[in-house]
Amino acid sequence: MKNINYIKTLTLVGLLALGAVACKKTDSNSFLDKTDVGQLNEATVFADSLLTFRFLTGIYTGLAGTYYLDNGLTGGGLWSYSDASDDSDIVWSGATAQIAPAFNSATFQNQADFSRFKNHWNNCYNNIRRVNVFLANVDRSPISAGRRATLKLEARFLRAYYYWHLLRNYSGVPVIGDKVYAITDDFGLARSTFAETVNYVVSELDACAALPVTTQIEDFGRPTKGAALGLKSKVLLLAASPLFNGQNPGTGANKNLAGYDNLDNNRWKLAADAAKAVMDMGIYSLVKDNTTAPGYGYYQMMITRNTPEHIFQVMKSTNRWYEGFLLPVSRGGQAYSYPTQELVDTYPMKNGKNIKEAGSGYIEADMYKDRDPRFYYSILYDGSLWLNNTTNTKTVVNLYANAPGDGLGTSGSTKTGYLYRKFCHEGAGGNFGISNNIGLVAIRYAEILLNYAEALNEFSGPGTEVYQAVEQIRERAGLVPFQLPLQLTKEQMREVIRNERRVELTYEEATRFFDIKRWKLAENLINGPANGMRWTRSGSTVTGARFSFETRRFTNPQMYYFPIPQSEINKSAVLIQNPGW
Amino acid sequence: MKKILNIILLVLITNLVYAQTKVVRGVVADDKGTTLIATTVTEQENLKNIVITNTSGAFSIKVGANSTKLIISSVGYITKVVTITSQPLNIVLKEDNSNLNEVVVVGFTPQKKITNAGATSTVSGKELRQSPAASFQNALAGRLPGLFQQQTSGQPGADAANIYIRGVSTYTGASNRPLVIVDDVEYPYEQLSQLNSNEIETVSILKDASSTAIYGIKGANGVIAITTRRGTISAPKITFRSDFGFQTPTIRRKPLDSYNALILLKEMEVNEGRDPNLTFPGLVTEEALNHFKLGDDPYRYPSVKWYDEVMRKNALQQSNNIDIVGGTQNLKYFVALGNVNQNGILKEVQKDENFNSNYYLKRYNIRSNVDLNVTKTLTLKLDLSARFNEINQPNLPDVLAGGAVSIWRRLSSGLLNPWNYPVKNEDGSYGGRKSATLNPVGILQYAGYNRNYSNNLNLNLNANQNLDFVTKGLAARVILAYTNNVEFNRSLTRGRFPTYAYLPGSDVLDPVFPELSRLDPLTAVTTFDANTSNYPVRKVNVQGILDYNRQLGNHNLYGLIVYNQLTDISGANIPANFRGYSARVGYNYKSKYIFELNGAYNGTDRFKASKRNGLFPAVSAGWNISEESFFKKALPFINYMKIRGSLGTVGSDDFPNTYRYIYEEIYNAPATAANSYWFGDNNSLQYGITPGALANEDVRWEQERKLDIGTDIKLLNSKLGITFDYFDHKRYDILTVRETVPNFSGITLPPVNLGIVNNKGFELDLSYQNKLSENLSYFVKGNISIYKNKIIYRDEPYNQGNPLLMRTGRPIGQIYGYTNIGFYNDATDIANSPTSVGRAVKPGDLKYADINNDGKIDQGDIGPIGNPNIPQINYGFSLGTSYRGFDVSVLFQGAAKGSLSASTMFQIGTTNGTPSEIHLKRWTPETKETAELPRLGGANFDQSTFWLRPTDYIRLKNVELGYNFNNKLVNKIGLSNARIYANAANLITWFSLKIYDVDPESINSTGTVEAYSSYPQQKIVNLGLQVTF
Repeated sequence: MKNINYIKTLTLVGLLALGAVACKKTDSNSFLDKTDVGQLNEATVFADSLLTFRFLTGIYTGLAGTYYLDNGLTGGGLWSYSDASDDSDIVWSGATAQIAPAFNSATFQNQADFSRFKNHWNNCYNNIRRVNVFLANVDRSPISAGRRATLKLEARFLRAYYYWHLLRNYSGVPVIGDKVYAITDDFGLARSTFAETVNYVVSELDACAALPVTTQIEDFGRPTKGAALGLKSKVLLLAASPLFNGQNPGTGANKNLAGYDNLDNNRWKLAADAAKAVMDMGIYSLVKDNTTAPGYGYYQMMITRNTPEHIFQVMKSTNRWYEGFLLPVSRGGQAYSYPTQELVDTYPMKNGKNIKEAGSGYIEADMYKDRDPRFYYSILYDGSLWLNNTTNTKTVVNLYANAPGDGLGTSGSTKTGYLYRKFCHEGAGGNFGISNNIGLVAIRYAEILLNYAEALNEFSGPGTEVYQAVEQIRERAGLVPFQLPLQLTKEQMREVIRNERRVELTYEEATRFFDIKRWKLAENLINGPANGMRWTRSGSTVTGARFSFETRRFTNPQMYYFPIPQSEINKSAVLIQNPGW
Repeated sequence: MKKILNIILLVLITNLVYAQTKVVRGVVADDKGTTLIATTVTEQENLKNIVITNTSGAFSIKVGANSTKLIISSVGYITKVVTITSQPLNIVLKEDNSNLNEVVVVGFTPQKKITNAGATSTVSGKELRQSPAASFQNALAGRLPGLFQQQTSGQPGADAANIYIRGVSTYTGASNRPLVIVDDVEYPYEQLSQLNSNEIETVSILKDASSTAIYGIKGANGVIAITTRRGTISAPKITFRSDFGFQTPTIRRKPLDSYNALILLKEMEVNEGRDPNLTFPGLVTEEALNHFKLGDDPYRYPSVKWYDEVMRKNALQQSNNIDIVGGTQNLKYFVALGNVNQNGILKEVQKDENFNSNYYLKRYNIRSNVDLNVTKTLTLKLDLSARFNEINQPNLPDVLAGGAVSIWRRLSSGLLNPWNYPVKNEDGSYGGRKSATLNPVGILQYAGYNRNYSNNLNLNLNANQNLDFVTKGLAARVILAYTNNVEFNRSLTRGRFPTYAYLPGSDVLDPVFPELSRLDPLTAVTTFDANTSNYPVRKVNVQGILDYNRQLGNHNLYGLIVYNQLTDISGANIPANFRGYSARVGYNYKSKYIFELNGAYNGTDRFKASKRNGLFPAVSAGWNISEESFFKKALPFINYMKIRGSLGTVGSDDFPNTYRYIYEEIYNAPATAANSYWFGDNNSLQYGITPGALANEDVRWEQERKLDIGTDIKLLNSKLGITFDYFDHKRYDILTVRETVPNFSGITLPPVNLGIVNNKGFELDLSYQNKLSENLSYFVKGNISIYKNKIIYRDEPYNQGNPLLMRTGRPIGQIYGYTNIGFYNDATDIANSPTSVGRAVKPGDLKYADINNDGKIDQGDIGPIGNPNIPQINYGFSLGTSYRGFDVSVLFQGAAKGSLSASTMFQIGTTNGTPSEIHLKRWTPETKETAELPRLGGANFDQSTFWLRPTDYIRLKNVELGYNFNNKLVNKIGLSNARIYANAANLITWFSLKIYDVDPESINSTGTVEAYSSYPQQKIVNLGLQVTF
């Protein structure tokens, strides 16, 4: 009995003690307090110089999302803008959930709320906010004043770059300046007009011209003065182009959002001057090597990370991105993108003559003979050679109809009879060989020359400077002769420049996609059948036939602009939609 | 002595026969000697003559002179008929254990159902054991009103149904999973399925505020409270039970053979304006089709039934259970050991290597529950349980097109058409094709397996000290529970193996992997779970409870104070801490008027200190109206009736955010390719740092105000029982990302407590049981639950583009699409119909209604259609009978008002389907009158009412037929009891999705996940034997 009482008392005391401990702990609440595991936040990041640098790096990582129509290199495939232009088509068939097929069929899931459009909007604005956060906090970071000033300009360049991307997709957009929005702010900001947006970007880029002319070798890839001026050249060329320069399809409220509401030929002058400013820096030049092989410099430029021709690029690690996505299955690639016959026809002969021109020497049945060297460095056609992993030699790529493995018509291979090889290293396949050290070219000197030629031709006709700029490109390409016929009219020169642009810059960033829009030619060029080339082999006889692999649609004016996402329009009464959406 | 008394009684009765009326007095008490108030005393000869016992259990009734019998009845007791004597009667009523005296577990203390005003439903472990399903949840279906379930997969070890109590109430992020409590200790929902029903005493679901408020911040989704079996005072009883069953898929898909499929595909290509010979080179020529038809060249023109090549007809499952129950006054024990062996449905392929790549589940459950009376006032419960799981699945490499798609979808998709390649080529090598997915038969032979082992250990110590010496009715309890869960994986895999394709029109076998000249060796990898940092899981739960319960005359007062603290440490992650206090105060007068106040004051570490703790109160009241004398007089045929109601607020903090402290803004710096940038000539890698969602220091739990009004009724001598509940739940402060902040702000928005959802419904439960004779009894039971929710607010801007797409005002999970109004008949029909924007329609395409009457069919015509995927009506009914040794019972279970989109199932193409029988019913100009589906090709697969099919179904969920051997017979061979039985689960299903070959509980399509992506649901036919020594 005594024992029992003892146990009772003990238990009771124990219980009370437990309660007391618990109560005491609760008062201070330490049990439920945060366990610090070193999570980063605004305060810790901007108190440290390296972390501040890495915050800026975070803004760079979004650049890949501006380079591709979809996905970028960060997930899925390489959905190039080219595949939504008249240059090429994409592996995907039918599913309009993918953006290039959506463009080619003019069918957009959820229309203005199509998620793939939204990605572009969100990616840019997310990064613009990051820049503003960076600018608002960087002064706290223990970084030397000089370096800090450069970092700020870098950030502002990136912001301008994202606005540039918005500009060409959406035209005038809300310009938020340096504001770092808080959740309680008023969000009733309207779109700036096209003119205001251009002015903002240009003024920012003018400020960025204070960036260093060159970088340290370990900082290569960060924007320089040349990048700022080069981007300005792109912006002003866009602004001077027909779609935006007084001829935009907007009506009423969106008239001055979709472009300038007046036509002003002097805008071509501004564009030409901007390009000239880059040329006048004197540090950029084309990579030329016509001794190793005609046009070899063009190829060298493509497979080299750092050349005098590169002005700005989206930096990547050593990679086989292009090889993996573009090359045929037999070379370990995924054969994602298929050039059209229209693109192939754009390449001149190696004598510089257009294939339709008298004396070009073009033979339809032997169409790959004696073409512009750039053709061979850009396109894989039936019978071209590529490294074979099994033999370790270059062997023939068979793209003829139903050829085993890679042939036209076999599943998972080309729909047009062609594949791209641009930017692929000849010593690599999709999953073997050299892992090349290159980035994604965003601005290079050849484009600046073409910008200059185009703007100046439009402003003052085909003068000597126009000829010089274009001929520089043609010379480097390995054309013999590279000279253009004398006394071309302005219109003839315009055609030459447009063809040259298409050939020289094919598959790069979004050039063709936006060129045919700003020229207001997309409705003519896109609508209708898109063609490929079918080679049929029967014994030793080879016959070729052009064929239409799909009929494309372009809805005018809708497809000249991306829509402001419907969800954004819903949120704000002052956001006005683009024409046609 | 007894005999003498009887004689005296007899004499007395005969003496009284001549009186005109007489008064009979007596006292009614229970078998423990407690007098019973409000007991009904009825004159058998005149049923209208009723009196009620007073507060001391006494009664006096005037009866007719010739009357001989009185009927004594009281709720919770077995009705007794007594013979009238001239002496005062001392009547003893026995408790009716099967009935209302049943206790329900309502958080920390059991309560008698009669004095509980909450809304709860209970099912006994015995009933669950009638189901041969290996997953615990799957045995619950149809038995508990208010429980909704959806079993989306039949994969061994992963086939548990998702369960929801009273449907779903929250639409973003936060989970709708109920809280699981096993023997008063929180149990992981993920492991619920692995409980062994042999260890279960009861399962209760707690649905309303009064029963869940005590769980405070964790109670909003309802609670599943489970008690395990315990020892009894008896000689040791050893029970052995063995089950052996077959699992068969509830449905089997039927793709067409190559010939018929290619004919259809050819038609599709022609419809699409493409040349079939280009799309299907060498496959649709006259000659090729003829080969397919005749089957004369099965290597070059194969027609493979991939389903049959890969799946067997049925798979075995086996389970064994042994338990020992017994005890003395001071020591009681229940010890159980069980194992389950559930095999997978894949075929066994002849292998050179010794591994098992089939799906399977192997599980061992061990439990030992011991009750020990240390002193007269101190009892200890020592519960130890453990579980060892082994779940296996084949490695399914994704080296070729579509490999990332689930194998179940691959098998019937355009990636694996019957004509793609033969299982094996002429030379014995595996068939393959670059454009098709990897040979699944070869996968079974070569690709290896992924195996998951998990060990789960639970220790539950409970000390209860009776504190009567402090004040009568007081007790103190300490519970210490520890859980340890470890998982690790082992895989033995091979990514590919040589396969060969016949080149079209040639005899050459072309290697699919030209560089692969040999079989790669298997790669063995052993890891902790995929997310290595999550294991082991250690949970420590400490509870201190003061419990008070005292009867003072007619007044019953009880109370409870709980201190509860839980720490959950998963691997090296941030520990998750919870602490709170709960309390209950209850009072009832004569068990007639019931009041109860429940509440919790608790919080978790997920919120900022100042916002952390919340009060979750609930009030409930009940009235046992049948105990009122006016009621007994007016409605004597109602044996029992209670009206009850409860109102209160409960919370939920079960948000899936990976970062625990959701009130902070954190900057992210993941080491991923997407977050990388490479500066410099030599591409030096730097990871970026990016801001996360803005801080929201006000973030709190979600709250739910629950109103419940219900009644429990017993009729027809308590043979018929009715329970009805109406509920109105309002979930508010739902953590929602604001939708009105434009994205141009660039802000990654934090979730804010702002959403509101209303969820209303009712539950009806009926049961009738009767005993026709000593040997023959039967029962019928049925229940139906209905809920309907509606989003009241979620900060959604007005959708100018199409107001019909608004989610506010619609149920959670609303499906949106076009409204189908038949097919386009011909060109005239198309010309006369509103223009389709962005869709070139042809005769045979689906015709949609112009909802907004703007003369064109476009996105503006998409509106809400059908029902959400989770059915809104759930019901079950069961009946059973026993006659002598035989017993039989069946359970039907069904659901209604749910929708499933079938559009992806009709699509033919690489990642979509391969033609199957349903495609024969497509629209063609010839069959336009009878066509059930649109023409092949064409853009008909937008979500529309056409594809939205009701998931309504009725299943013969459970059948059991058993025989108990005559005890005398089995005693002779040393057994005390023996039973053989056969039972089955999901035996027959009636549903409207049959044409798609898809189970009605399948998941709705989202992207590449659709109904065909899951391991098929199984029906199980099982034989069992149970013997008790």
